[in-house]
Amino acid sequence: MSRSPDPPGAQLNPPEDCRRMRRIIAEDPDWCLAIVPFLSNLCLQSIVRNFEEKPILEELKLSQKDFVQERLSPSLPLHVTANLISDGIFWKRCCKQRWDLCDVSHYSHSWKRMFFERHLENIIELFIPDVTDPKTVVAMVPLCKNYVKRLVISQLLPPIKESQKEEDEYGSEVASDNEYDGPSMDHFDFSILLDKLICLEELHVVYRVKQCGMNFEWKMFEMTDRDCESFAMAVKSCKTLKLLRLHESHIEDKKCRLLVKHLLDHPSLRELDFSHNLIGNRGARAISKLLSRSKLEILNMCDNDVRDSGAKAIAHALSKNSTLLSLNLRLNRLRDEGGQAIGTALLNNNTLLQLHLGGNEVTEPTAIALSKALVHNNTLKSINLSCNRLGVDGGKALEEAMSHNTSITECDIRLTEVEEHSVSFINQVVWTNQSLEHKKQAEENQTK
Amino acid sequence: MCLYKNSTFFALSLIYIYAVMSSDGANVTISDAADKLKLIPTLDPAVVIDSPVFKPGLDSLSSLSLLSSFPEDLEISEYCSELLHIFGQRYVAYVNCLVPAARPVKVCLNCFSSYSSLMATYTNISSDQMGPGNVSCRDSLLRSDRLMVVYLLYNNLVDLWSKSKCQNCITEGFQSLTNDTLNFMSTLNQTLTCFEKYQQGNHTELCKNCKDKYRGLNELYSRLEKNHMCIDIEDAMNMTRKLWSKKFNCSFPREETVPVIAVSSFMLFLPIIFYLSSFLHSEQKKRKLIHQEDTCVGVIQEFNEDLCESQPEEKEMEESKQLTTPQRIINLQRDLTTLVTNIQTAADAKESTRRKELEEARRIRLERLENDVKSSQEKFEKISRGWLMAKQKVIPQELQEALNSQQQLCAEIIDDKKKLINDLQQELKGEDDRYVKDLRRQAEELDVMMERMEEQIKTLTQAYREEVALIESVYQQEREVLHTRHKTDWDQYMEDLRDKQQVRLTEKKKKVEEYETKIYDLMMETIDKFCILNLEENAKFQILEREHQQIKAKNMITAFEQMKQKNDTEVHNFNLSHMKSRIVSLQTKMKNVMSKYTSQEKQFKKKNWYLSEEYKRNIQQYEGIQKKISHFAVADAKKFEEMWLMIEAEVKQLVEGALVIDSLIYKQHLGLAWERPHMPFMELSGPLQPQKQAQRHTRQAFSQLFQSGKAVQCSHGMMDASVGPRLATDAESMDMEVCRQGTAVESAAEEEGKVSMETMKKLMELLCDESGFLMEDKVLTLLAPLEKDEQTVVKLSSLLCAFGIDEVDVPKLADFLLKYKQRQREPTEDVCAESGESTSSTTDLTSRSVHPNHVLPALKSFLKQHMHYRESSARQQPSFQYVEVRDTSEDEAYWESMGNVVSEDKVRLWEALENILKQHLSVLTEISELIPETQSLQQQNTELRKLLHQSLNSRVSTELEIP
Repeated sequence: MSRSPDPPGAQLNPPEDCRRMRRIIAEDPDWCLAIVPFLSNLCLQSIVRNFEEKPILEELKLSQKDFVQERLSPSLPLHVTANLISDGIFWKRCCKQRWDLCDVSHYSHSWKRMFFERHLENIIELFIPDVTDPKTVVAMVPLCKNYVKRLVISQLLPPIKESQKEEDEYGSEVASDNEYDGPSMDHFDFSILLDKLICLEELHVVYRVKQCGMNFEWKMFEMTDRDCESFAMAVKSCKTLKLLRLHESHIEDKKCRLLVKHLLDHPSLRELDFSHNLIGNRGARAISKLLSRSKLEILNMCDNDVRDSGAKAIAHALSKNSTLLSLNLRLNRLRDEGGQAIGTALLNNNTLLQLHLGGNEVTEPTAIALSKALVHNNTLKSINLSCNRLGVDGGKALEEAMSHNTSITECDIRLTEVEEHSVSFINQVVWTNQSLEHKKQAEENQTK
Repeated sequence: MCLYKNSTFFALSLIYIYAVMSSDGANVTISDAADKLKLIPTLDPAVVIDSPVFKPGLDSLSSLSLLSSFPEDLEISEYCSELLHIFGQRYVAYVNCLVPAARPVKVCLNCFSSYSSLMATYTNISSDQMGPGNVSCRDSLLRSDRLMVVYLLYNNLVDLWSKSKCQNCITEGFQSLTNDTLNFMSTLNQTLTCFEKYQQGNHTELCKNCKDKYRGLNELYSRLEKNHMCIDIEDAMNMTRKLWSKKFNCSFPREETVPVIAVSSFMLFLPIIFYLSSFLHSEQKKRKLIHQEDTCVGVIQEFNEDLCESQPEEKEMEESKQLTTPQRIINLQRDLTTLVTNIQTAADAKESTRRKELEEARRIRLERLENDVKSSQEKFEKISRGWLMAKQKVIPQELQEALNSQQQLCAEIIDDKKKLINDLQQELKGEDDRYVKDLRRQAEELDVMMERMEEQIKTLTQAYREEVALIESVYQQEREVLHTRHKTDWDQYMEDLRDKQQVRLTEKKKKVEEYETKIYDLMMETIDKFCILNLEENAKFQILEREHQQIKAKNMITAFEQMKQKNDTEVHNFNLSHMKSRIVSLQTKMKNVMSKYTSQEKQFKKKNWYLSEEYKRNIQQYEGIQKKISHFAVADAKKFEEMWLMIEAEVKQLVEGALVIDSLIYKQHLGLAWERPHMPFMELSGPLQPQKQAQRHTRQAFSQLFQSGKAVQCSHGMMDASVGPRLATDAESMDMEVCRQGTAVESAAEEEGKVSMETMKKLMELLCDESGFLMEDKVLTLLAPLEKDEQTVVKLSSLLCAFGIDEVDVPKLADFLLKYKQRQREPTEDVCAESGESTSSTTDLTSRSVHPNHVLPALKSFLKQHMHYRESSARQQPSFQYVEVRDTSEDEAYWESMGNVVSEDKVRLWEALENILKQHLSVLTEISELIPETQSLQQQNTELRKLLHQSLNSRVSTELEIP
C-alpha cells in the first residue's frame, strides 16, 4: 500500500484503516465505538504527522509528550529532533531501529547518548578522505556535541580508491615502494572534530580497516605521520578528554614522541592506552617524561617493544610519580635490568596499585628486587609476573617477601617455573590479604 | 472362560447324544430326532448346565418324544442310519474320554485314539462315495436340515482338537504320540517322582536334589515350546512350575532374565553414558588443547586440578560451616578467572618465546647475511681481481678462460645470493605458515577462552544463585526462628499482659467495690449524721412547737372555759325552763292516762266475767251435743245395718238376675252347659263385723287416751308458748278437767309423755336447728332478740305450720324420729345385744344419738307417713268418732265381688255375643227388610207367570210360533 503522503498516520488509526480496507463494517469483529479516537488524540496525531514542519513538543504535557514520542518516526531529520527531543522512548526507538544490539548500560542508560555516539562513530568510521565531505561530520557537531562523551572508532578508512589507482599507476613503475608516503594515505582528520565536542571524555581509536578481506595491505593498519600530527593536535585541543586509547595502530617511537609531545601537560587526561603498538625505548622515554608531566593514573603499554633502557626511564619516572595507579608493561622486553629498575623504583613509590610485568623475560634478579620492594611497599595490591622465568630461587624470594606483605591481593606467578609449595604459599598469603581487604571493605561499608 | 465354554458345549453335546440315543432306541428316524432336538436349544443353555435336575426332565421329554414319534421315514437308508449310529457311539466314547481328562488336561494323550476313530466315521459319512444301495449319506445326514446336528457336533469337537493343538503331540494318522512328547513325559515323570521322593522332608533338600531334573525338564520344555506344544504338555509344565515355585518355593533365577536385565539396565544407562562420555571427551579435548599450548600449562593445569580437588574439601568445610564467608565464591571467581587467564598468559608466554625465537632467527639471519656479505665481498673482490687479471690477459683464449672463470664466479655469487634468497623466502614461507597457524591457534584459543568465560559466567551465576538461595534459606530459617521466637515471646507477653490486665481488672473491681462500699458507708454515715442532726433539730423544733402549742392551747382552753362557762349558764337556764314546762305537761298527761286506765280496768273486769260465764255455757252445750252425737251414732248404725241388708238383698237379686241371664245366654245362645259360679258372699248377710264388741271398747279407751294425750300436749304447748299467765291458768284449769275425764289411762299416758318430755324438748330444738331453712327470714329476724327457748317455741310452731302437722302429731313425730334412729342403727348394731335393753336405753340413746344429719330424712319420711296417716285418719274420722271402725277395704271387696259376679271374661263374652247378636240382628233386620221385597218379587213373579201363561195361551203366540 502506498500511503506515502501520510506515513505516520498509517500506524496510528486502526479503525480508519479497517474502514478503508474493508467496506463492510459489520464484518469487522474488532470494531466498536470505543475505538473512535479522542479529539486530543487526533490532535496529537496531527502533531506527529506534521512534526517536521512544525515541531510542537515543549508545550505539551508529559503524557502527551510520551504519546508523541512513541509515535514520531525515527527517520525524522536529526536537526529537528536532536536538540528538541530529550532522552527517552523516541531515541530508544531510533536506536532499536538502527542497531540490533543496544546495550544501553554502556551509555549510562541514555538512549540519546547512545544514538548520537554511535551515529557519529558510524559517520567517522565510514568517512573516506577526499571522498566524503568533511562537512557532513562537521554538520553533525552542533547536533551531537552535547551528548557525545565517548567515541569508539573501531576503523578508519584510508582513501582507498584513489590510492589504489595511484598504487596501480605507481605500482607499474615502482614496485612496492615503501618510502612513498603520498598524502592520499591520510585518514580522517580528527582535528576538525575533537575541539568541538565539548563533552568528549573517552576516545578510542584504531587505525585499521575492518573486513578488508583480500585487499589486505599493511598500510591499512598504520597511522601516517600526518595522521599522527593531526591526531595529536586534535587530542591536545580536546580539553575534556580523560581517556585516550590508541591501540593496534602501528605507533613507533617517532609517532609516540610526537603524540606525547602534544599530550604533555594535558589538563584532564587520566588514562593512556598505547597497547599493541611498536613503541621502543625512545618512545618509552617520552612516556616517562609524560608521566612526570601529567596526571596520568593508568598507563597501558602492553605489547610494545620497550627494553631495558626504556624501562629504566619509566622506572625513574615511576619513582618520582605520585599519580600513577596502574602500570601495564605486559609483553615488553624489560629483561632483568628493567625489572630491577622498576623494583627499585617501587621502593620509592607509594601510589602504584597495579603492576603488570608479564612476559618480559625477567628472571631471578628481578624477582629478588621486587621481593625487596614488596617487603617495604604496602600500597601495591596487584602484581603480575606471569610468563617470566623467575625460577625456584625467585619464587622463594617472593615467598619470603610475601610472608611480610599484607597489601598484595593479586599475585600472578603462573608459568614462572616457581616451585609449587611457594606458589601455594603465595596464594595463601594473597587469599588472606584478600579476605582482610574484604573485611576492611565490609567495615567501611558498615561505617558508611 | 474358554474352559467354561467348552464345558457348556460338553453338556450340550451330552444332551444331544442322549437325545440321539433315546431316539435311536425307539427306532425313530434321525430327522425326527433332529426335529425334537430343536426343542432343546430353545431352552436356556445356562439352565441346562446349572441344573442337574434337568436330566430326568429330559428323560420325560424323550419319553414324550417317544410317544409322539413319527412312523419310520423312508428317506434315510439303512446304511446311513448305521453310520450315524456308529458315529454316535464313537462320539460318546470320545466325549466320555474328554470329560474326565479335562482337569488336569490330558485331552490329547488320552483321547487321541477315540478322536481318530470319530474322524474316520465322520470321513465315512462326509465322503462322496456311494455306499451300498447307491446312497450318499453326506447329503442326508449332514445337509438335509438347517440345524445340521452331526456337522455341528463334529465341528465343535474339531475346534476343541485344534484349540488344544493336539496335532503337535500326535503323529500323523493318529498312530501314537510323538517322540518329543514321550521324551517330555518321561522326564516329567522323573521330575515328579523326584518331587514325591523328597516331598516329605525339608523343601530345601528337594530343591537341591531335584534341581537338575527340573532344569532338564525346563530346558526340554523351552526347546519344545518353539514348535507350539499341545495343551497337555503346557498344562503339565505349568503344574510342575507351580509346584516348583509355589509349593516348594524353589525358584532359582532364570538365566534368561539376567541378560534382559543387563540389556535393559544398559539401555537405561545409555544416555548417562553418552553424556558422561561427551563430557569426558570435551574435557579431554580441552586438556589436549592446553597440552598443545605448552607443557607448563599442563603443569599449571595439574596444579589447578589439585586446587580444584582441594577445593571441594574446602567447599564441604565451608558448607559445614554454613556460610561463614563467601569464600567459595571468591575461590570460584579466582579459579575461574585463572582458568580463563591461563590461556592469555599461555599466549603471552608463547608470544614472548616467539619473539625470542624471532630475535634469535633475526640474529642468525643477520649473521648469515653478514657472512654472506663477507663471502660475497670476498668473491666480489676475487672477481674484481679477476677483472684485473683479465685485463692483463691478452690472449683471447686466456681472456675467454678468465672471463669464463669470472662468469663462473659471478654465477657462484649469484647462486649464493639466490640460495640465500631462497632460504629467506623459505623462511618467509615458514613464517607465513606459522603466522597462519598462530592465527588459527589464537582463534582457537580465543574460542576456548570465550567458552571458558561462558562457563565461568555460568558456574559463577549458578554459584551465586546457590549462594543466594543458601543465604535466602539461611535468612529464611533465621527469620522463621526469629519469627517463631518472637511469636512465642509475643504470645507469652500477650498472655502475661492479659493475665496482668485481668488481675488488675479484678483488683480494680475489688477496689472499686471497696471504694463504693466506703463511699456508700460514708454517705450513709453522713446521711445518718445529717438525719440525726435533722431529727434533733426537728425534735427541738417540735418541742418548741409543742410548747408553743401548749401555750396556745392553754390560752385557748382558758378562753374556751370562759366561753363555756358563759354558754353553759345560758343553756342551763334555757333547759331548766323548758324542762320545767314539760314536767308540768307530762304531769297533766299522767293524770289523764291514770284516769283512763282505771276506767278500762273496770271494763275488762266486766268483760272477763261475761266471757267466763259464756265459756261455762258453751261447755255445757258441748256436753249436750256430745250426748246427741252418741245417740245419733247408734241410730246411724242401725240405719246402716238396715240399709246394708236391704241393698244386699237387692244386689243379690240383681246377681241372681244376672246369673239367670248368664245361664240363659249360655244355654240358649251359646248352647253350653252353665255352671253356677261359687259365690260365698251369697250366704252372708249383713255388714261385715267380725269383732264388733271387742274392738269398740279398746277403741274408746284409746280415743280417750289419745284425747288426754292431746290435751296434755296442748297444755304443754300452751305452757311453752306461755302466751300469758292467765291463759295458762285457764288452760291449766281446762287441763285439769280433761285430766279428770281420762282417769285410769291418764297416769300411764302421763308417764309416757313425761318420759318423752325431755327428749321431746331436745328433739324439738334439734328440729328447729336443722330445719331452720324452712322458716322465713322475717320470723328469724323477729325472733333474734328473744331467748332461746322462746325462739325454739316460735320456730317450732311456724315449722309445724309449714309441715302442716298439728301439734297433736308432735309426739308422733318425736317417736318416729327416735324410731327412725333406731331403725337406722339396727342394721349396723348387733340385733341380739339390742333386743333386751332397747326400751331402757331408748331415751338416753335417742337423746344422744339423734344425729342432726338424720333429722331431715327422718322428717321427710315422717311427713310422707303422716300424710298417709292423715288421709286414712280423715277417712276413718267419723267412724272413729262414733261408730265402730269399719273395714272399708273388705267392704269394697265384698261389693266388688258382688259386682264381679259376672266375670270379665263373661263380660267380654257377652260383649262378643252382643256384637254377634247385633250382627245377627242386623242380618235379621236385613232379612226382615228383604222379606217384603221377596214377597213383592214373588208377587211380581206370579203376576208375570200369569201374564206369560196368558200370553202363551193366546193365539197370537201360537201364530207367531209357526212362522
